[in-house]
Amino acid sequence: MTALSRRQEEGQISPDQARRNTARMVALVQECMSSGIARQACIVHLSRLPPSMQRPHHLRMARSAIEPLVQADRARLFELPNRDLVVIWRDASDNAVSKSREGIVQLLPPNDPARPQADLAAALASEPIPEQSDLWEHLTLPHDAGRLLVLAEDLLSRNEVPAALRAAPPLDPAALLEVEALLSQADVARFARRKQICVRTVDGNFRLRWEKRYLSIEEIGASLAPDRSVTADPWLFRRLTRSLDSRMLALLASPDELQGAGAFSLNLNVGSVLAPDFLRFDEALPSSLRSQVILNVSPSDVLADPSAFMFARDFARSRAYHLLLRDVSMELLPMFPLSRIGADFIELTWTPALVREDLRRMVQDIGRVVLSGADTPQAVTWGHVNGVTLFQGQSILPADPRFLRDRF
Amino acid sequence: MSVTDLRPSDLSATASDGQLQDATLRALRQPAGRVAVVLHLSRLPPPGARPHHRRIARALMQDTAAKFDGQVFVRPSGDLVLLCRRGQGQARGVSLKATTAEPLDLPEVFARLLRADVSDPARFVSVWSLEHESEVLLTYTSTRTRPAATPPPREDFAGQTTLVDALGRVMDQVNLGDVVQRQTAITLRPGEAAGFTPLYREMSLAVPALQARLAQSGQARIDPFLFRHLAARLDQRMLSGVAASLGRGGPLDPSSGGQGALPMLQLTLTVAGILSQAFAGLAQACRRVGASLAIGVDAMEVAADRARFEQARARIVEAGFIFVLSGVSHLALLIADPAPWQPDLLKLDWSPRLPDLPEGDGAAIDAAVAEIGAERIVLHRADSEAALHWGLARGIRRFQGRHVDVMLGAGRIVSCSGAAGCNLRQCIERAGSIAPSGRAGCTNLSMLDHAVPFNPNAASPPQAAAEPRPAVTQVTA
Repeated sequence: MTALSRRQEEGQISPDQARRNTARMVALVQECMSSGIARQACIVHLSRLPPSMQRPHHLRMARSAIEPLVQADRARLFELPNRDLVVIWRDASDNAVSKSREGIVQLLPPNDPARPQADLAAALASEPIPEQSDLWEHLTLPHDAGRLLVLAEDLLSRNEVPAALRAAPPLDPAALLEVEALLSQADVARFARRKQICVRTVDGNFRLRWEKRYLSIEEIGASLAPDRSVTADPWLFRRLTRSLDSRMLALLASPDELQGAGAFSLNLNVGSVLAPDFLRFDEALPSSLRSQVILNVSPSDVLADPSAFMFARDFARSRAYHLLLRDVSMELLPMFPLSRIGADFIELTWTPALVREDLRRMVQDIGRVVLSGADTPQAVTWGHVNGVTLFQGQSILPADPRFLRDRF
Repeated sequence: MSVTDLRPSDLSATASDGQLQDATLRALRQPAGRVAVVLHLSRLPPPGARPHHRRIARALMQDTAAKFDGQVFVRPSGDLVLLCRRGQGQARGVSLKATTAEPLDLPEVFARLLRADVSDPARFVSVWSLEHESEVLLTYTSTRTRPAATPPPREDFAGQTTLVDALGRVMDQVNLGDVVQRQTAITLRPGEAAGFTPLYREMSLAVPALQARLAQSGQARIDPFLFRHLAARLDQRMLSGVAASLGRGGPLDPSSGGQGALPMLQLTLTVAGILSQAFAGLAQACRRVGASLAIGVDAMEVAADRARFEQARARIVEAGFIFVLSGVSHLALLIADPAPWQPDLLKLDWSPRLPDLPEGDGAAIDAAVAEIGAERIVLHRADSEAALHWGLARGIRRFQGRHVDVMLGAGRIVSCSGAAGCNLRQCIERAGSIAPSGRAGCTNLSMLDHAVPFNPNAASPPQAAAEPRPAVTQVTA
C-alpha cells in the first residue's frame, strides 16, 4: 500500500488539500464579512493534543464527534494544515453544538485515576495535555472573523512540511533510479494538477490569464517512493524533475489532451526544452495554442549551463513560446534583470518578509511580475500596492472561469 | 520524416556522403528555385557540437523541409544539409506552422541559436542556389567527410545516475589525496621584483582520477545536478580531511596558509557542506590556531536557494574565511548580475571567445567586470597567454589555470637542483597532486609544495609578500 492510499484510507487529507481548504475558509470568512450575514464557527484545536493523541483513529474520533454540527444548516468543515478542524455554520441547535463539544473534550484522558484510562493518562504524563477549554473555541462571525483570518495567515505562511515527510530519508542515486523506472511506467495523468494565474483587472476583479500545469511532486513521492523524501536531497530532486518533465511533456502531447485548452505554463528544465520529448510536444501543440505557452525555468538551471539556456531561450522564441523565470526570491531579483536574461515574466515567490520591500525600486516592468504563493490577503494587498497585476495563490479566485484571451 | 518521428537514436543517424551526392544530382536536374542550406556544425570549436545543437537544428530544418519540398541530410561530420525549394509555392499535405522558418531565414535563425557558442555564427551557415552555385555545392558534397573527431557526449540518462552512484561509493572508500587535485592562483604584480604572489591554493575533486579508479570512462560533469550531489558527498570527506591535517604541515593543512610562499587553502563547498557540523568544527579549529580558508560556492548553488546560501555565507564570514563565488562564465555575466552577491573574490571562467565577442557583448562584459571590481576577479581556467592579456587589459591581476601552472612549473624547473631528471609536464602534474603516488619521481618535494619557486641555495625559502586579504564580506541583515 502506498503512503498516499494509506493516508486516504485513514481519512487524512494531503497538505495541498489542507492548504486549499484553508484558502476556501478564508474566502467564506471574507464573504461573511462583506455580506454581514451572521454565522457561527468553531475551531477544534487538534494540534494542541500531544503527538501520541494525533494518530489516525483520534482524528477519526474527532471528525465523528463534530458530525452533529457538520449536519447543520449550510455547515462547512475545513481541515487545516496543522490538523485543526474548523466548522462554519448558519444555524444549528444548541444541542448539536453541545453534543459536538462534548464529543471533542472526551478525546482527552480523564483526570480520575480510578477510571480504566488511568494507564493511558500515566503514559501521557510526560506530554502536556491541553485543558478542555483549549480544545474547543467558539466564534461568532463576522465579529470574530479576524481570529480565523489570523489563523489562516499563520498556517499558510508557515508552509510546513508534515513531520512524516521530514523524517523520511532522502533519495540516493540508487533510489532515484528506482523512482525514475517506476515513473516511466506510471500513469501520471492522476498526478496532473493545475494552478491558476490571474490578472487583476482595473475593476479590482481577477480574470484567469493562464494555468500552470504540473505534476504533484508530493503525491508522486507518496505513491512511488513512500519511504523516501524525494525533495530532501535538492540536487537529486532536481535531477528527478528531468524525468517529471519528460512525462509531463508526453502527457500533454497525447491526443486530445490540449483540445480546447487555454493558455498554460510548464515548469521545465533547460535540458528538457532541448530534449526529444519537447520536440514531440511542440509538434502536437494545437496551432491555436502556439504563442499561448509559457516555459518556466529556474535561476539555478540558467546558471548551471548558460550556453544551453541561451540556446533553449532563442529556440523557444523562434517557436513563439514565452519564458518565465520562476522561484525568484526578493534577494535574487537584482541578479536577474528581465531585459538581461531575456525572459518575458519573472515569478516572485511571496513571503511575509516582502512587506518591508519596495518592489517598484527593484523591477522596471512590474507588469511582467507574477506574485506566486499569494495565499493570504496580506500577499494580495502587498502585490496590489506595489503594482503587481499577475497573481497565483489559493485566495485568488477568478470572477469569470473563462480565460482572458489576450496577447502576452 | 516529421519531427514527431525523431527518436534519440536519430542523433547518430547519418546519411552517407554518397546518398547526399545522389540527392544533389537529382535536385540539380531541375535546379530552378531550389537552394541548399548547410549548417556546418563540424566547424564549431572544441568541444564541438552538443547533442542539442544537432537535434534542434535538425528539427528546424525538418519543418522547413516539410513545407518547402525538401530533404535533410546529416553528414558523417555532423553537418546538416537541407535541399529544398527556395520559398515559393504551397506546401503539400503537411500541417503548417506559422513558426516554420523560410529556407532563406534559416541562417538568421541558426545565427541566433549559435551566438552563445561562437562569435561569428554567420560563418557556420551556407546558402547556395542550385541554379547559380551548383559548383560550390557539388564541391562541398563531393568532399568526403569523416566523423567528428570528438563525438558528442552520450545521452545515457540512467547511465549517468549509475555512474555517479558508483563514483560516490568509490569516493567514500579511496584515500582522499588520490582524488583531490590542487592548483595555485596568483596575483600578478607587473613591475615588481617578485612578479607575482600566490593568492590561494585550490583543492578540488579530480573527476578523471575518480573515474580511473572505477576503470570506467564517463561524463560525471555532464549533468550539473548529479555533479552537485557528488560534490556534497566529497564535502564531508574534504572537511574531515582538512580538519585532521590541521597543524600537521601536510598539503591539506590550512594552518600554514597565508604565510609567505604558502597561500591559504581554497575549498569549493556546497551550501549543505558549509551548513554542516563538520564545517562548524573545522571553522572552530581554524579559529583556535589562527588559520584561514577561502571558501568557494558555485553560483548555481547560490541561485538554487538564496536563503540557505545567506546562512552559509554568514557562517563563512563568522569563521573569518573568504567567500569566493565560483562557476561564473562570461555567458553568466551576460544574463545575470552577480555583483549584489558581494563576493570577496569571483572566479570568472576564461573562454577563448572573450577577446572576440560581438561589440555589444564585449561591452557588457567590460561593464560587469567594472561593476564587480577587477580587483575581486580571479580569471579562472586561464589556459593561455591570451587569457592573461585579456585580463590585464581590464585591470584583472588574479589568475588561475593551466597557463599559471606552466609559469610556476617553469620557475621551479629553473630553480630546482633535481630538474635534470624531469620535464615541465611532469613537474606540473606532480605539483597538482597531493598523493605520494602522484608526486613520485620528484626529488625536491619542498620546492614542489611551495606555491612560488625559490632559490635552493638561499638559507631558507623566501617569504614572498603575503597576498593582502580581500575585503571580507559584510553581511547585512
